[in-house]
Amino acid sequence: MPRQILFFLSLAAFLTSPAWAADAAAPELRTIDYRLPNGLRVILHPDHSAPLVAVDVWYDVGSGDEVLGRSGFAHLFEHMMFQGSRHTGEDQHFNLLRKSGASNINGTTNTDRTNYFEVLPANQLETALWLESDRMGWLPDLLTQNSLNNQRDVVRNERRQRYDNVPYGKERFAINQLLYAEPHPYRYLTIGRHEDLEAAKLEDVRAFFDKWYAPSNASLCIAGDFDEPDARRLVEKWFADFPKMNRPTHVIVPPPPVAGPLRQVVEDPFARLRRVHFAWHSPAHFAKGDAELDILASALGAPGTGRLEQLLVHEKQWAQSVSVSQASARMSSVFHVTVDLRPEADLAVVEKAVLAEIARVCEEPIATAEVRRAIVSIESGFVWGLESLIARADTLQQYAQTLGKPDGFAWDLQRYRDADAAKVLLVARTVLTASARVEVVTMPASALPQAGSLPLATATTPTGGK
Amino acid sequence: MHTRSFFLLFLTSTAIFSRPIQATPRPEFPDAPFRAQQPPAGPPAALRLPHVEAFALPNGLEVVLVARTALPTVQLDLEVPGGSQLDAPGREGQTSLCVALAGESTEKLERVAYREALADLAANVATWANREQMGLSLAVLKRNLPQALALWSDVLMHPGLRARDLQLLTAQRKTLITQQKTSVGGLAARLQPLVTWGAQHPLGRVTTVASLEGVTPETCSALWQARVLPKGARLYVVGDITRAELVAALKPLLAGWQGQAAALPPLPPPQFTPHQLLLVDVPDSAQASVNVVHLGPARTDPGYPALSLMAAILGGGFSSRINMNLREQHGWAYGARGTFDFVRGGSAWLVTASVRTDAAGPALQEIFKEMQRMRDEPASQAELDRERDGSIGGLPARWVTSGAILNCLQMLHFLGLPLDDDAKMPARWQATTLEQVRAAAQAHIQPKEASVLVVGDAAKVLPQLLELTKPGAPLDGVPVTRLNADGQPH
Repeated sequence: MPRQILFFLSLAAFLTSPAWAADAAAPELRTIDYRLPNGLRVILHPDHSAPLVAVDVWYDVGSGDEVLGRSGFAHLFEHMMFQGSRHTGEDQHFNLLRKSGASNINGTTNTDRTNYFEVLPANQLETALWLESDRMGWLPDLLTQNSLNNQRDVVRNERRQRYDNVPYGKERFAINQLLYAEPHPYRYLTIGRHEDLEAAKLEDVRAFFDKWYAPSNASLCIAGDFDEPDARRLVEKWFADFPKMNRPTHVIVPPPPVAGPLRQVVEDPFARLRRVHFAWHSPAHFAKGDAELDILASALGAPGTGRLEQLLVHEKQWAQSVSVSQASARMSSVFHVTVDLRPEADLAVVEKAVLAEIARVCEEPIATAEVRRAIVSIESGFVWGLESLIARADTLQQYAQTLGKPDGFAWDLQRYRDADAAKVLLVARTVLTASARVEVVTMPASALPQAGSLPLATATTPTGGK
Repeated sequence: MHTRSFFLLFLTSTAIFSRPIQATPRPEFPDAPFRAQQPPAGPPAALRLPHVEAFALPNGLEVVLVARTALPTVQLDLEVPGGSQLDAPGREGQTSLCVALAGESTEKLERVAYREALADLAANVATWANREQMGLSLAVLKRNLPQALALWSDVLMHPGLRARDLQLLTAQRKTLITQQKTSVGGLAARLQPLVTWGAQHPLGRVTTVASLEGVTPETCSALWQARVLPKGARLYVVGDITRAELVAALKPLLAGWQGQAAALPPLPPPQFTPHQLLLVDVPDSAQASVNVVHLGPARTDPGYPALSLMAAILGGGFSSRINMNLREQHGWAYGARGTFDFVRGGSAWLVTASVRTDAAGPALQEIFKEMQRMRDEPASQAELDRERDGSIGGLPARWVTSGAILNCLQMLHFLGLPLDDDAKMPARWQATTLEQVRAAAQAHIQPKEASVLVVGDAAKVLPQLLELTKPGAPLDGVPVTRLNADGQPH
């Protein structure tokens, strides 16, 4: 309890200071960060407020490490990690954790990392370490063609459920294909292509495991109600005798230049509204300019207050909704502007209005009030983001992976506080150019002329400037 | 030109990158005997429920407060009885629309100015309505509570209810309905209440584009004035605030807010039609949503401990029989689940899964098989142990964050349970036997009563459904009824 209070007190002190005070205390999460001799990173974050622990293992591999012809593989592999390993038995992972009282059990894959986690009663910590160490050590023992076939079907169903069978699933692929030419690994989204998933072989699973799932490429975070010496002893027991293996290296593929603007029209049988989606390559996660683009995204698209939202949804009533975001990732990020048009709106007029506003933020600084509003919201988001134990563990892991230290909270916040309208302008000018822009327009299938030979879905044609 | 260079790049990169993944074989990982078994757990911590302060303000408003200092945040939610059940027939969706309108602005601040004022405080003020309740919530960092609370109370007592905002909201909601009609999951969620409670029942009626017509700021004002009154309402507060601070802050803001809403007419009994087979067409969908529904007991039923463990074994989590069957054995679905969805005074048993289109019929067959097996054979001791221990062990996690605490308290009140109900559950679950689990299945899992709703590509799904209606099949002799996206037979 006292430790937790210590952390939250410093946070509270920071938050009660005026947002712009230079001397505001930086918030601190209490963390212990060390490596075992085999290279496994260990991050401990004690918090005794509830009798729970979150165990969160990050492997430094994601869909960004996939090779051509194997899109979707990192995520398919993640599914295989739940199928059982030498000592735990086939398909027992969820059974064992459920019986232990675990409340949140999952794994997720993105472009840059794969995580596996469980939140469970504090007295069950060791069960989580048993399961995590066993799949890190002996996954291949229980690999079978049957379980691979099964999980391939499950993942293809996941893709159908989340992308193929929902409105605007298609345009997400289209945007990335315009932005990322072959062989960039961000091209096919983390979920991957059906044909690549079909092509995955058992030996691919083994080779992927051998290459990426080394202790030296993993980071184990334990957050919650434990005593530090106990946690250290248990980590030692379950992980320390694993061998030291070379840490695999990532091939960082720079974002390919876009000879834009590139435009594609996509026909979508599930969409009922036209969507226009503009996107640009932008600075990588935590790189210079990343924070400024978060602020700009808020100024343009925050619900109720963003410029585009006010103009298109409220004032003109041309749009059902507007969304603007800086989607940050390791190799490069993407700045997205998405507008769903009301049925009666004129597409050309809306596009012109959006591009005019984009041009404006590249020419004139946004108002200080807009910068301030964005930062207030981001600061608040930091605090609410600390509520859940697993979210906190993931944040520590993210900082450890990218910044090299888990407690990057103060550094992260500072980059927003250091931003101002002039810096936002400079980044906007560099990033949001017409020649770097890609555009995907979704046409509901029913809104298209029935007869005729419109070039759809495959048409990739350079268009004129703004 | 562009296309061509693109193609060349593709070829080049294929040559370079499509080789198998290269990796040095792993060194040996030393095994040890202790790894062979699950390590024993230490003693479990006793469940500690948060300290709840319940009191009433002079105007009759009941307050339920949990003061906690974990984070410098405050969350609150005013809840009043009556939600979409208040909609007159033919005017479905109008209560919800009016409640949303109330959250758009205040008398003093029009929409944009109001939203900017909230954004400058990073305050989230929102109105909401479900079937049986409506409310007004606030979430904010403690340092901004005074100003945020002032805006919150302004919405409460002086909502703007502007005609222009109403017109915009109405158009947006109509569009959402249209969009929902092409999503199998969205459409299934839209029509499940109708299948469960009946097309004319206040909990089952479906909002349509037409039923949103005719709302005016005046009707919304009348609704807000008549329903959002302190006596009979309840204010939940969780966060970094004491009772004294809360009362002092509310007193000046709520001065003059008085009154009590008229009692709600009791809900009519459910109008569930057993053993229907309903099909909604979404052409070209890659998956079908399959749903199996029948009525169930109230959450306050004394047999709840056995019921909940039985339901968990059958359809509750990843390890449940239905998920293991459809996902892990057959690979038809990303996931599948079955649960009792509790309302006041009753529940609906609902199994739902989004499955590959060609597996719709076989998946339903398996769901019925699992429901029947749950009645016919006792569960295994391992299943009972897993779900009992898991349910007990999972209790503390229900009370960890402010948001979770708020939800738990609201749910317990809504279902008519004491606020310390969770404290009593470990002993009740411990006492549950395999016989009770089977008896719960025999009493409350009704494959012969269940109705089926399928949303998907009808041309491909219909022949599979007809298989299910053959003699001896789960829906022996049941005719297929085609519904449109508004739930009307056609």
